Amino acid sequence: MLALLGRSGSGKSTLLNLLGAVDLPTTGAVMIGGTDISKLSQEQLALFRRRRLGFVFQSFHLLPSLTAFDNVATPWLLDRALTAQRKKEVADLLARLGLADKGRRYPDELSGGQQQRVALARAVVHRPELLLADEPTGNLDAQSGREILDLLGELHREFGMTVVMATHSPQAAERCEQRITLEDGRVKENRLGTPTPPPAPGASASDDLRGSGTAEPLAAVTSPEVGA
Amino acid sequence: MIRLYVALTFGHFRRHRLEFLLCVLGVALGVAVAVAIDAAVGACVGSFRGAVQSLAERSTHAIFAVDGVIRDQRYIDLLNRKLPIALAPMINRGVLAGAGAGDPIVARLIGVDVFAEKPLRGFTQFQSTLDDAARRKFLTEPNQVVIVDSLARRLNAKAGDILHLTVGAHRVDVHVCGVIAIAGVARTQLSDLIIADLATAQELTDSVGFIDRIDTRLDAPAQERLLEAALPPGLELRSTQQQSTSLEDLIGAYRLNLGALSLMASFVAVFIVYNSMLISVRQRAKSLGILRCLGASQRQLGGLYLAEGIIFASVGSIVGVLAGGALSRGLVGYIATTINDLYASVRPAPVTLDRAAIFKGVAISFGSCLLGSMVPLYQAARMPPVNAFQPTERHRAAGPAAFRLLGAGLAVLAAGWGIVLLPSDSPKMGFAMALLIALGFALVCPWLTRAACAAVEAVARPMQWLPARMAAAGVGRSLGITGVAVAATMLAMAMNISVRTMVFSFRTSLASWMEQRFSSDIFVAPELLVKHKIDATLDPRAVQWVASQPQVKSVIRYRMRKVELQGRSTALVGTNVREVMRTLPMKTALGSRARFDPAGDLLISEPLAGRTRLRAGDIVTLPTPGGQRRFRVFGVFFDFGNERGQIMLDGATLASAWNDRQVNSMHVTLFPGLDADKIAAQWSSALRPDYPIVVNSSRYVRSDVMAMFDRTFAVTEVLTWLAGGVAFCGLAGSLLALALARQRDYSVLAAVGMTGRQTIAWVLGQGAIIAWTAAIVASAAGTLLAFVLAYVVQYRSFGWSIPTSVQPRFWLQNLLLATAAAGVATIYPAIRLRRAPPAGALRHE
Repeated sequence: MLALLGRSGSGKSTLLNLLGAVDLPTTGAVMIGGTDISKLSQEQLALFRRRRLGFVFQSFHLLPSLTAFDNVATPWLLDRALTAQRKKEVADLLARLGLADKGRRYPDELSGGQQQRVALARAVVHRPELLLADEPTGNLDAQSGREILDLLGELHREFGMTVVMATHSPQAAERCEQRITLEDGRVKENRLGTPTPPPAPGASASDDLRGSGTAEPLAAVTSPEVGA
Repeated sequence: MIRLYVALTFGHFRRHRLEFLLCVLGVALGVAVAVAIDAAVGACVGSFRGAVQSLAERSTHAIFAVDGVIRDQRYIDLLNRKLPIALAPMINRGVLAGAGAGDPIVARLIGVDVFAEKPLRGFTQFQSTLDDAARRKFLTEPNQVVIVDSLARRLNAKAGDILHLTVGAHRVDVHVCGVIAIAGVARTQLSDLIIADLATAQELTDSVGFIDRIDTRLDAPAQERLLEAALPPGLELRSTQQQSTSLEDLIGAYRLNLGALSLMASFVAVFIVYNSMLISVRQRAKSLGILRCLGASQRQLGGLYLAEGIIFASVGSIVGVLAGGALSRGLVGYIATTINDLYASVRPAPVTLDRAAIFKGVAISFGSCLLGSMVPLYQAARMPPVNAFQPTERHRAAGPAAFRLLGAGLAVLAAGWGIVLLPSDSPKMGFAMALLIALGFALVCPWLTRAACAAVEAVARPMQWLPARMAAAGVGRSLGITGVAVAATMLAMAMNISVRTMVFSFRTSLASWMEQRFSSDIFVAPELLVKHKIDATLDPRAVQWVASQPQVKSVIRYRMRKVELQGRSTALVGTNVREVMRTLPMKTALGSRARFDPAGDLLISEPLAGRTRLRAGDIVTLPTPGGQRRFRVFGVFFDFGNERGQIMLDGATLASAWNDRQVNSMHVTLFPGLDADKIAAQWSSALRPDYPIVVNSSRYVRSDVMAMFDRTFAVTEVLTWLAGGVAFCGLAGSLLALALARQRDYSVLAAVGMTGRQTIAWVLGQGAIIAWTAAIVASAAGTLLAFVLAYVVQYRSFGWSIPTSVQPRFWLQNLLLATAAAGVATIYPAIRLRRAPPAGALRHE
């Protein structure tokens, strides 16, 4: 897990958007898993986001017209590939996040914490390689925020995905193995450390990021403004 | 506060330019159509009214015979009563005038007694402008006329020239003994005048012993009472005002139909303004909440939307009135052609937008905008401050409202249907019924849209069509916007379907009626009557010539004159009724055992039966020169030829009772195997050099009538397409607003992996749901309205019933059209959504 820190306007969200291929760099390149996503077509980018990335937003951004279940299943619905097995996986995931009886509810019928848990489930249901979270606890109370961070940690360990989280919260940043502080679009500080509380040991793709920096990073942004 | 209004309003319009333009365009189109129709009809009516008033000049009233012409003796009798009232006899006929080799033009021949004229008209006191010889010629020699200078210019004629006139049944040459100039307004309104001495005019028009009218000037009600008391039966006094509105009376129903159709576009515009303003309220819900938090009162927020409504209305008025002026110049030709085809010879004056037309345009614009802004204004005023902090959009809130509207719609439909039970024959009530039915269907649209969305969701869910599901959800969640877009689109399409179904049914009925009515081979009639709607008869020698031709198997002669029935002038047709009844389409008749008695029976047309409530078996009394005579109504026949109704009786009975043996037209049946077109051409070549008549095959007449029919309804169909244009503006505006409202959802889905193609499918899906729902509802509404138009409005307007046949192909055409319109309307929103980087919408939440 990697935390992006910095003041408002330092470039955290811009970096996340670039990594998530929802915004394109005016100059430079964005490499994810060896793929230069700035060279992909719009259709390829869409498929890339659908299959390899997951997003969690500060404002949850659930689709108000879909139930919690359908919101979680969105990546597969876009592929028209929601099989019986996957339906079960969605249901299991909701149950695991404490939302077993909330699948038929619409977003406006859920609390903020519940909505963010649904958003988290949507982001991980298809086992993305990279999970991007933009202030995932920013709109939640302390208790709900802690629960979301716990879940993020659990899912990170279990599914083995890299998590990049933009946050203002020192508590959230402490959960991460690596903390990068941005200032005016540039890396001010890059610290590796032991997350608190320590996660259960387990191999994961994020090991690459937790290393000393000699290993190949999963994601890299090369630009005059936002440099790795 | 005004500064804030201006900043908020113009700031919003600047950010939503296209929606603003679409809304204004919709309002302006509605205004333009209504203004154009009014101005174009006004130009035709105005020229007629002006001509009547200019011809009357100082005279205030005229005496007419209910059955058409006044015997000289009646005038002399009136003079002998020594009433202290000025009386001037007049012959007033439409003629064709030509000079040299040029094409003849329609002109007006008046015959006057210049000595009796002095107190009434100035322009007939032209003697002083003529030299002595000319004056003497005018008064004492036959076939001498004076013409006005504008006619002289058009005919390229001058004093001393010979004019060739077609008058009634024959052609005659007259000498121009002088050219006079009329001063003032009358100059343009009497620009086609030929003046003759009364005796000359009587000779020219074959009316020796008769006059058309007696003009008079009545300055006090006592004089009017005195004259009315002195009038013998069969003569009636009409004011100049009544005469000048006679064309308006004649075309009243036609005008009402056009006016009502033109107002439909404005009716659709009300929905568009409503939708546009509602969208604006939704788009600014947060801003309105913030304003309320900052202390803005409900009245101030309402005022903001009232100001926006006024801006829409103002811009719509200006653009609409200007566009209406331009459109009216194109329409006037079509409308004048229809009036000439069906009613009377008119030459429309140049179209001008007078104050009344401009006021009407402004009133329609403000009326539709203010009506359309009422509910959004109310919603804006009641916007709670908490809206400023509403974090999550509600997924479904319009259900109960849609259900309430469904109930209201069904109630309005029932009320509309109930109008037919009211004891009224007014076509206006028919239009009120149509309007209520249209409104009823519009009100049920939100609920039906919601049902359609549920149906799409039910199909798309198991098939995992997320774009289709999103489209259904998007439309269903914004029922306030989409329901109105469906209603506006539905109204325009229903209007299109109903008018086209009615016109198609009417055309089919007319074609079938013509087949039966013109089942003979050749039709012979005076040129003036056929081409210019000017009353004229056939020369007896021409009638005799035709009847004696070897190819002729049988001939049916028709004579049409006027007769007073229930106090109104009514067309009386004399013909061989027994023969005609073999093919005449009858609506009702006495039982099969009853036989038509030529001496005591008559038939009445359906429009007359509707107006007079007469039925088969009733007795009617008609005034004849020999006294009142009773006839039995033998039956009622279908008739699309005369909307004011007619009586048909035996020709011999008419000839003897009215002492009238003239013939207006002939239907000739040839021996089998002969080519009617060829023989008609031969007869025409033989007769036309001597007689101003038209000889055509009945097949040609039928196709000519159908062409006239198509010309008449071309304007009607144009109006329905213009209403469609208004609806398209609404549809495009709604889809754009919907796309913008869903921008965040789009961005979320794009972030999750939705492709551009799926985005387009989503936006297209929204358009398709709206358009198809509208098309399906419009099929039902349009068909029902077609029945209302045919059986209520047309029957009450013109007196004829049109068997209406349901035309599914119009439904299909509208469905395809709606699909194409939705496709076009979604192009821009789809491109805009696809091009917008998802990060933009996600960043600002």
